[in-house]
Amino acid sequence: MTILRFIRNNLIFYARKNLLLAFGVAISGAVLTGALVVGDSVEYSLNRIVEHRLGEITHVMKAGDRYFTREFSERMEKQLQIPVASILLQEGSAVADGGERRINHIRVLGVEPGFDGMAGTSAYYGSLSGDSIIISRNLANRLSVEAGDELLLRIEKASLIPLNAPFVSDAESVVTMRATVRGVADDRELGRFNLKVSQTAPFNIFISLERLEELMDFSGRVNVLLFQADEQSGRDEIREKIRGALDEQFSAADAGLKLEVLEEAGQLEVTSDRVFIDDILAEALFNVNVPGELVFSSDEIQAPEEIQASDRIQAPEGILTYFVNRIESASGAAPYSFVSTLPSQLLKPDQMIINEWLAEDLSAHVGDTLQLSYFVVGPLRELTDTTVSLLVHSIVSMEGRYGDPELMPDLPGLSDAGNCRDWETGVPIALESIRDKDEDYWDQYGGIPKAFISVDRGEELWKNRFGTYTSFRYTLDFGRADAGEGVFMASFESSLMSQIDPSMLGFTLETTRAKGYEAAHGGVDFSQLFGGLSFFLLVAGILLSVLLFLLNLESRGEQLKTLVVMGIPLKMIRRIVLGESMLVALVGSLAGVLLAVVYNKLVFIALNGVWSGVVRTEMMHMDIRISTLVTGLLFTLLIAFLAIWFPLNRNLNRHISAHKKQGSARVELDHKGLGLKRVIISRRIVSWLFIITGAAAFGLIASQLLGTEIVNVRLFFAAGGLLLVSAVLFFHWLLSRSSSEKEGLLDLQVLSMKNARRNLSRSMSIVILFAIGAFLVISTGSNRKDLFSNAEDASSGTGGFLYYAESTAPVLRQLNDPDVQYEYGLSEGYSFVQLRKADGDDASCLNLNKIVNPQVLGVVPRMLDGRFSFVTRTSYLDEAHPWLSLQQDLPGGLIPAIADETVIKWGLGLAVGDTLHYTNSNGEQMKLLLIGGLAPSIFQGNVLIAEKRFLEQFPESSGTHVILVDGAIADTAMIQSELGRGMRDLGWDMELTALRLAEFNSVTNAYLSIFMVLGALGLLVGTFGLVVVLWRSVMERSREIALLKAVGYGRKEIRRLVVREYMILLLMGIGTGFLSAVVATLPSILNAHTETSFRSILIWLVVLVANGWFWIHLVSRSALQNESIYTALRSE
Amino acid sequence: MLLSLEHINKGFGKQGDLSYRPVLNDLSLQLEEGESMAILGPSGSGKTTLLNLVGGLDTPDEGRVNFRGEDITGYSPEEIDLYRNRQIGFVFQFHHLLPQCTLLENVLIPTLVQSDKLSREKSAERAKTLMKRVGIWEFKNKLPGILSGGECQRAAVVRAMINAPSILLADEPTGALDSDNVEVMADLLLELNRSDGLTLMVVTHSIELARRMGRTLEIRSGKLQQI
Repeated sequence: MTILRFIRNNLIFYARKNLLLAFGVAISGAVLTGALVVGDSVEYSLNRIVEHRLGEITHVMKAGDRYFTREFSERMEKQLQIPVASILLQEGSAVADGGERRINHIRVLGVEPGFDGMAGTSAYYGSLSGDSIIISRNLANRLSVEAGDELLLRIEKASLIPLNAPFVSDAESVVTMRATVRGVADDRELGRFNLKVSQTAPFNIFISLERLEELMDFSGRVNVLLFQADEQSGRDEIREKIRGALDEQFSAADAGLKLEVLEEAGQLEVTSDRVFIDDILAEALFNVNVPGELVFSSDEIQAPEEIQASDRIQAPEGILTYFVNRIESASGAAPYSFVSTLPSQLLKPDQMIINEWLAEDLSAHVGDTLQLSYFVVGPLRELTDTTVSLLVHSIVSMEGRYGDPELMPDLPGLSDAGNCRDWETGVPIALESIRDKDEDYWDQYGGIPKAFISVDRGEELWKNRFGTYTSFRYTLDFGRADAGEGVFMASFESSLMSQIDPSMLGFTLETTRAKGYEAAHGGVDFSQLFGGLSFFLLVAGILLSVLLFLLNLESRGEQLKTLVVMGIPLKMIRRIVLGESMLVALVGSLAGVLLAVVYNKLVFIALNGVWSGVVRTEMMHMDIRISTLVTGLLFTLLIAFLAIWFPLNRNLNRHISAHKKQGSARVELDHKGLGLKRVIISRRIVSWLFIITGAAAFGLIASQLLGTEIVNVRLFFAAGGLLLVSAVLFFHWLLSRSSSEKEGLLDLQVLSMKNARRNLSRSMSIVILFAIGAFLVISTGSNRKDLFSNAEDASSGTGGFLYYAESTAPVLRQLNDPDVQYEYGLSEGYSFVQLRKADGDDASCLNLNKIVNPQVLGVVPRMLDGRFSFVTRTSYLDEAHPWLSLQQDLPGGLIPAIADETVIKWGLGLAVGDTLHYTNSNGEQMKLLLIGGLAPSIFQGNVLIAEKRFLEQFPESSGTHVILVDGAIADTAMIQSELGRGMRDLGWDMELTALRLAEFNSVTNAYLSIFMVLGALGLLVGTFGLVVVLWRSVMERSREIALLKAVGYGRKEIRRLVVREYMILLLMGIGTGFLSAVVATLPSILNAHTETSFRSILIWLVVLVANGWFWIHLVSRSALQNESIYTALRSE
Repeated sequence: MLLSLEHINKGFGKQGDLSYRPVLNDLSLQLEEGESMAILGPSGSGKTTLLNLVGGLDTPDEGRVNFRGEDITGYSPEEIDLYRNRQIGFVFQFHHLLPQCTLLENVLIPTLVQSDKLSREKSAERAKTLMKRVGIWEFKNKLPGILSGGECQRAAVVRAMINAPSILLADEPTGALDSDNVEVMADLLLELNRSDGLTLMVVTHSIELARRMGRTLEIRSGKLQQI
């Protein structure tokens, strides 16, 4: 006889009991391993999505709101010797079937043949020409179109000039084309192309770059470069190589600068495609240093006689030329003129020089005071007509600098207009004020400035966020340059570019592929998530395993004692039992691993189907890794070991206590079992713990109800948890009371109670299983979001707004302005809050990836005052007016920011009070301090800062892309109709805020559904435990039942006795869970705008009790029908 | 002297409490090697407690239990296990055979602690001899569930004898047997006593069985009295 043989005998003889134990372990193993496999699979799927959305692309260079020259792309390719493709990426909208189906926020990609290399296709995109387009599969499906069908496209027009810069016309911000679908791109053709980190496929339209350029009258420029690098040689090295090439190849033209020699003036002029020269470039232009013999000469401006030679300026010179509305004297006014600047050495701030034409027109003389009126353009083209008074310092003839038409900036719609009446300036022109003589001036002199002020005053009056100067001038002395003009220009540009860091202009290089994998790896941890969601199922599996193990141990108590009596050491007995149980656990764990695969399959069917709201993609694929299965197996074995080891130790030790301790207790060689009914924790300790936890729970509730105005949801949940523990301890105390204590007359009720007490471990297992199950299911069920309640409430997640709109092309005007409303055909009665947008990745719960660059919105804080609710806050957040806290100045350059609490926690992986580092459009780090967390709102996925801060960080920002519409519900249809019609060309996309919030909430609800389904499965396991215990108890108590029968009890009474005993335990468990759940969800219940569904709570309560009642009845009836129970005493 | 109990006091409950119930009161006993002894007494008189003290399953509140001159109450748990495994054989009213093991395996269970193959082979040989001797060898591969109570009880005796103990402690060994098997069991125990020199200490209610033992004692008021 060997130990192994002994164990083998046990395994075979107790096969049924062992299989039950293996089943319990298998459940734990399936849940645990399943969660790990789900995590692997989601990460694998996200990695596959990275490949599907990037094809062969490894790096991406973006131009921000600027553009690269096509030549830059060629130069980069030549230097790097790797494939580089350039694309022009714009937003647009598509309409099919004559307007029947329409989709906004489509990405329109102007591609060249090089894109085929990135997509891994051959002459697929390269063969695009004319009006033929290729569309992504999801777009084809959504619009129900296929190859050969026609689409009407509206595409945001590319513009070198920021659309909100002063005097830029917004008349043509969108181009329209009718295109024919030539093909539908699937994943293998890079139809899912997306540079943003997201598992959701965007709607893509591919068109030939030439055609797109032609459409937009915009040639030779692109805004995205794609690189296909071989990353074998090291990711960092490649990045540095590309970065180095960018610095080397980046030209003045790529920075939007135009260098031109003005032969007549003998000057080099630098202007910008963007009209106003960014301050960063201006600084470089001031500091440009030309080496060698080429030097700047001193000023050649013909100064008025009064100016001393010593006052003459030194180059370089920044010039600001501005379009003013009116120059007025006592005797007349000249409308619409350009006014330019002169170096400050020439003029005092309150002085101006006017040309002869103007002097004559206004009958002005030196010493007269003239009124200069001009528009100051606000962030949303709000115009402020401002007037300053200036003294006429001198009157000059229109020669040299004073007759230089190049001073007028190149403003499309203005500088190229044939006559004044054709001006398209982006500001209102009072055509009636334009006189014939003004037309004559325009015809004869064009935009030659009529007046000049000092550059310092010019800066003071007209400096804006797009820049201070409209041109730079360098007076040259080519006579001293041996190499001549060409070499000078090259040298000048080289010197200039050496001072410009492309990243400061918003040109960025991203290791897109690597970042994609990182985001996939660091995203929502589904292993953890499903581990958490399956928590109760796991606990139920473990409890079931412990319960079944204890039952097995109890049933073999006599055997174990026999072994002890025969001198088999305790260690050996423990080894035998442990070895046997672990072999069973191994079988269970292996079965669990197999079950995990099935479980995973089911989860993925659900994730791709009913729970698709959670993952927002149909691209979820299973990924079974051997290492994960082995990990799951080992963890399951570890859990099983612990689930067996502790009860084994406790019970064996108790059994052998007398023998070990040589104390006064005795070993009972009778039939009283292993002594499991003894309570390890003394009743006194239990009662104290019960009192302490109960007091703590009520203390928390009282402090929340009485002591503070702000309800802390987490504290209530903690109170619920404490109450659950307290109630469980109370029942432990109650059931462990000695049956000898006075209980009155014996009746069925008392007898049932006594029976429930006889095996405390079993009884408490049932109570705990049902208490936790009921608590989780009921509290989860009651936390489900009511998708549409209180939508009109300003404190709700909608902020009380009616619509949430996004436009493809920016809305450049203030929509609350009655004139603008009239222009767009909008009636009165509803208003707008417009928000600026800095493009980023979606950080909402709809994105599974880890986001480091969320979308930032700029808002005027007072517009949101009194709206939405905050759930977390820092001391920086004002209690009464939290939104206004966005305006405050924080130390250390911190910018106050607000986001949804869920975005902060899950999307960004941060907490309120943390700082989010973000790169602004100047390539600088901005530090956003998260001062408050919103309750789930329509802003999910975004980080909000004050508009003022936004414009400081993103000065080039043109217009608004996110618009909240505040109106009456009754006007819903009218508002939708008017805005849909009036804003159509902007790619207007709007949805009811309630629907938008419901979409986010549906994700939460989907998670809660998963939690509830898994919780319900856990309850089923608990029910199974109840069934096993009940059945085993009846069988074990056959002699007692036979005795009851012998003394006259009928089968009905006996069944009633058993049913009562277990119903007591069931009700203890469910009652505990129910009350704790109610406390945990008290904030929702007490909230006047409660979203808690009382009906669902009650339904769950009834379902739980009915389920338990059904099984107790069924099993007790079935077990008590066994004749052998009633004949158990016959042999005696 | 094989075994001597000196001034044993033993009770249940906490000493000094009202609930304390004394069972053995200044009890002393001496047992020579090869002696057979029966202990009689009413239920609750302390017969089983006395056996448990001798078998090392329990310890006295006061007094010494000397085995070959050594007080076993000072043994460590490991020494007690070894003492019980090598020196003591237990037989109970019920056979307590393990239903999952064959008769032969049941008999060999006390040899589980033997780690070397030679010892195990010797034990198997001894099991065969003993089982043949008591007439159950033919059932060696049968499970206890299909055998009679007498056959199982004989197997329980063989199991107690497998390690050639110095003392066989029998607690109502015939209590669950019919009259035929009572006789067989009594014969078997006395035969072992006579031929193997096995020391017998039998707790019983049966006067007939007691009379066949060399010495008969009765426990009254916690003390042993010669009958």
